Amino acid sequence: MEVSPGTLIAVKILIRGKGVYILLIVSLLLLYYSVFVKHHQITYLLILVSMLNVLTATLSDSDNHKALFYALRISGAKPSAIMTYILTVSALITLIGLIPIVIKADIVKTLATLVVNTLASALILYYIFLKIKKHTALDVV
Amino acid sequence: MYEISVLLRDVWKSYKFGSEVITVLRNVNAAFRRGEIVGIHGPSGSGKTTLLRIIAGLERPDRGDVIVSGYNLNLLDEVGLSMLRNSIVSYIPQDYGLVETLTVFENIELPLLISGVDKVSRVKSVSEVIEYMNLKGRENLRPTHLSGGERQRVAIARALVTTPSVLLADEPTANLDWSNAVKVLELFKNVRKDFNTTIIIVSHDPRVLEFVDRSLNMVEGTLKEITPRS
Repeated sequence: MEVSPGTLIAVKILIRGKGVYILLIVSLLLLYYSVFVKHHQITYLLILVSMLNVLTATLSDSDNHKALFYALRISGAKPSAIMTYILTVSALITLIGLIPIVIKADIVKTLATLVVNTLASALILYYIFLKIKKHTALDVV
Repeated sequence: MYEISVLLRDVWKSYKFGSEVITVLRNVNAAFRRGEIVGIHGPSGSGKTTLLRIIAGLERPDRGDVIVSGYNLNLLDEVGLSMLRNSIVSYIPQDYGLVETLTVFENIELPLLISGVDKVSRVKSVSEVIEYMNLKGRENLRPTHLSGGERQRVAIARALVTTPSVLLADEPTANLDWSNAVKVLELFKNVRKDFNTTIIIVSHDPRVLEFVDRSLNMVEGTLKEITPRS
């Protein structure tokens, strides 16, 4: 199966950044609460923390994303390759952050968290890309 | 009869800063022949980098025509401009534009990965360019572990891996000591000789002018020939 360049680069950048490790550690802590804390109110807290976790993971690698968008743009990446990168990174980050939610929350809350977190992460990445596209230089971003 | 690689006709570019409009390029006209090395000299803020970005299709002019290898950039959409940057024009930014989380090999491989070249051909092309740029043994290092001269060579290698017909270098010697700068400039001469590439070098360093075929001076957004040699 042929993997698209955007997906391949997204996986490389993610596993070499610090965001995914922050995400994993916080998700494991949340997983503990999901399994052992029975209070039903905890679900909303978990969703809130998972959202913050995904945003932190996205922003903590922002320098890597900036450098990559810059390199992709000058190397001639088509807009579709850049969108694939953004969506792959957002989806992977969201899926890791979703593990504790799946255990505690019902299907509606899980899907809502999935959509909101993916959108939030993708919008941050798209904003970074737009700034790079506008200035096409790292020093002015 | 010379083949024209890059043609600029009445190019204008302005930027808006709040209510103020600053005109960076004014009626720029120039023709760059295939296989020549041209230096664009001028003080900081004179519009040199903007001109390079316009030739690379990274920015659009407000007015005028930019024709690169027969393609009028005004007629290309974003996808067309991306394809142009991927195969015909390579731009080397002043800060090299390397991705610190990728290795030297992966940085150089990036344009080929984007264009969908298969893995075997990618490895072959990248290995050849690594050899050519004298970067053998550095393939698996991250750019942070390289010297300034080596980082510059990686940026040039990434630009050359698709064998473009036009190479644009923005202040290629600005972050290097003079001995490394000379090596980079000699390298550009070899690239021109081996690939017949048109090379446009933007620099504020007057010593760079010794290594080019002809020089243009950019002052307040206008371009003038200063040392016609050929």
